[in-house]
Amino acid sequence: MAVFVIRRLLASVLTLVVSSFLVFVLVANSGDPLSDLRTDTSVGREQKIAHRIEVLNLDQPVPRRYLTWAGGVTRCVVPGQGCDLGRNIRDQEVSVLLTQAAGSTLRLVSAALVLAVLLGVSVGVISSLRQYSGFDYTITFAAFLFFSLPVFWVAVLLKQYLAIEANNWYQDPRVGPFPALVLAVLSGLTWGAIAGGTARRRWIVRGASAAATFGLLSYLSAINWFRYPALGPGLIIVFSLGAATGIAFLAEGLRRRQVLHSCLATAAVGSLGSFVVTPWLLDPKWASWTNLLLLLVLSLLLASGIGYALGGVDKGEAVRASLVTAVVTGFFIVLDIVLRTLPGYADLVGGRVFATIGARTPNFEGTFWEQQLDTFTHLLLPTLSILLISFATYSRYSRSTMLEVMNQDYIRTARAKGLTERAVVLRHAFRNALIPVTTLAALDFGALISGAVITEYVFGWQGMGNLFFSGLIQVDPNPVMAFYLVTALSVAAFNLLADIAYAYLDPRIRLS
Amino acid sequence: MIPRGGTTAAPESDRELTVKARTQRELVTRRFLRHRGAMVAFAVLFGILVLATTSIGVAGLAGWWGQDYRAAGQVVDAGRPTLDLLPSFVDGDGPAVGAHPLGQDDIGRDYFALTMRGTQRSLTIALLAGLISTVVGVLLGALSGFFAGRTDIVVMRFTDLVLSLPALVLAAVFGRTTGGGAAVIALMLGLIYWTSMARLVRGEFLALREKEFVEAARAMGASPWRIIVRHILPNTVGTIIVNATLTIAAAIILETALSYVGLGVQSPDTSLGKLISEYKDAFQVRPWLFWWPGLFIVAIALTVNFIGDGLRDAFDPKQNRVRD
Repeated sequence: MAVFVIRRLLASVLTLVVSSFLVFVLVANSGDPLSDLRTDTSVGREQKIAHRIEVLNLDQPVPRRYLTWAGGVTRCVVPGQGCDLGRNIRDQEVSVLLTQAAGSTLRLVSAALVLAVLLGVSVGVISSLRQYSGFDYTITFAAFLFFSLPVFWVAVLLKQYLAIEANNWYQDPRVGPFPALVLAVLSGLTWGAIAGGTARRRWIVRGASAAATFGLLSYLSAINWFRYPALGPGLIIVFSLGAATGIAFLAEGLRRRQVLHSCLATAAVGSLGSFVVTPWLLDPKWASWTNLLLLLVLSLLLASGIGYALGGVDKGEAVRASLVTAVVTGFFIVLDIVLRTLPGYADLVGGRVFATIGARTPNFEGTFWEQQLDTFTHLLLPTLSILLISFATYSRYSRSTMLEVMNQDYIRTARAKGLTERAVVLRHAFRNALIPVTTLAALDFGALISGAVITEYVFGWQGMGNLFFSGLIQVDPNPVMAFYLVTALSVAAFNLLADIAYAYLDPRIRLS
Repeated sequence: MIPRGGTTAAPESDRELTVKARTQRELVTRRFLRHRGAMVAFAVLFGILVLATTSIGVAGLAGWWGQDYRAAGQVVDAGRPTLDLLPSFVDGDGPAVGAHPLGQDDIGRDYFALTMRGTQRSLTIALLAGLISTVVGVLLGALSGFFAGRTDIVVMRFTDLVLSLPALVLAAVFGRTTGGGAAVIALMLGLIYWTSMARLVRGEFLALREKEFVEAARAMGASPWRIIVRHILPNTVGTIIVNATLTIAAAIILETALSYVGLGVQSPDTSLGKLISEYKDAFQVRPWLFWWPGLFIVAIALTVNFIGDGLRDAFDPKQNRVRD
């Protein structure tokens, strides 16, 4: 194992050195870095040219400039020395620019990746369990469609129909009876397709979900909920208890009373705790990431305590399920706060809540929650456009691995033992189907970072894509190299991680 | 089967259990032809191809569509599309094509001709890129997998190296230094995409070179070249064709993206991505300038992906994605 890792690391370092040299040479030779100054007619043109030559070392041959750059990079590895990624064409420190840019890009990519994996895997698994159903065909077609969409085209459509139209709608947010009816029919069709069983059961599911959707939308419109959205303690309790039941069912089935009880107890404690926590979190002096994190740790400790106390013979399972329940309950509490912040935030940005450009509103000042909401609304569209394409990959992939696993002999054995379908699917099949998906996710991360360049360009983000593009167009190697360094390092690291994870999760694989 | 009393017995020849012997090629073709999605996609793609090549002509030949994509003209009715698919009982007038079915751009160029030109360019680039990447990938993968050992190490390290170069950098540099002709972009995309083909073919070759039939060929004194071309390569055709198709789909998307950010096809030539990029701000006023090229990109990529899926099912019935 150690030998494998070391050999792989050495190989990647070598590749990195050669390919970084190639990239540097290519960028440096792609044009004339002084072209904008040559046509400059202002006084001091000569000095400007001389200054740029000095900043970019243009008087030296390209390999020499590469060595200078590489020398700066190696200082990152040596402890006690600051990183030196060179200066860009405007004489700014690239390492400073990179720190700012990397933050927004990583936020975008990780949000898209996490959502794509969660959604893609769950939809893919459902679609494999309902193979050749209407749902399966719809998802298959949708995945192919999403896969064939150019991201820049989707981006414009999303801007128009999701952001601009939604902002117009938000001026007077009500759902009329006709749109509500359409949404109700859609929801009925979706749930009917997901539900299995007899035709009668599926019609009941369709009818019930359509009626529930219609009723809910009409009710929410009537009380103007969309203008002043909130969950409130009542809904938090209901949702958390519902989620607790669902988690207990998915984890161990409802017959394992101890697990169910500890999940319910965790949800109850959590949602009752919201009475104490919500005022704290709304207090501008108190709200911060550190305190949120502390709260999370505290609630996780509490949840494991509850699981341990009520778990009985199923202590391990109860603790695990309670932990998940605690996270979900916490999510509802935070969601409630964010929803409450929305009207105030909307006033601050002039009622246009869905942002179409940039990573944050320029010169935006607000409370902690308003800032988070601002980040979120700006993240929404770019994340969605990356998500669509990744979602397609994950749903197809997890569907096919799940189908493969479900045809294995050990699944038949599990069924023959008389296990419930839930246990067979979740315990025996799903876990094994997840192994290749883990690898895919690790490999995808690197691809997403470099793929996000186009998305950032379309949405006008000042991220790494911008660093890359402006460097490329101005024949300025250092910012391009900074971008390259981050993507290449993450690709190499995640490739290695994928191999190790694969060997760890699937003992049949041996690294050599 | 024993005919029971009185039933009409089939003629002697039909009663025999007749299973027609089919070659592998016939089996694959049959499975592909039965894949409904792939066949529909194939028809649509063929239609687009014919439309794009015959309408404005190709390689100096004149097409049946009289207008040139470069010719500016009078903007009629704010350049609105004249295509009308609705029958007369819906909106009063019958279906019509009109002078500018897809509208006109801001200087009065016929948008149908422009879109067709863009489709030609994007398709040419994607097909060429698919061809180049296939040839290079198969060649390197075959050598690497068949000879293994040192050849393999060299080729695979080289593959890793190419994989680690960002596609956009290569595109930008070659596009800028050579003027962004279609052939250059195709070549570059091909040189980016061959890596996955090489890895797949190498894997197949590594497995197949240990098989008995290769041993037999070797024992009969066949040269390595002959073994590669006549014995192993035909067994990897499935992988190659499927991967080539998927490469073409990916190349279409990447080419349009490059042209969109200005690193691909350059003026005065045009491509679908470039059209979208030029008119992206006109979405509010002239949405058709944005819709048509995008729809063509999606249609091409979607059909190619479906064909690839159909081919995969046809070559690999074990996956059993299609119900027979």
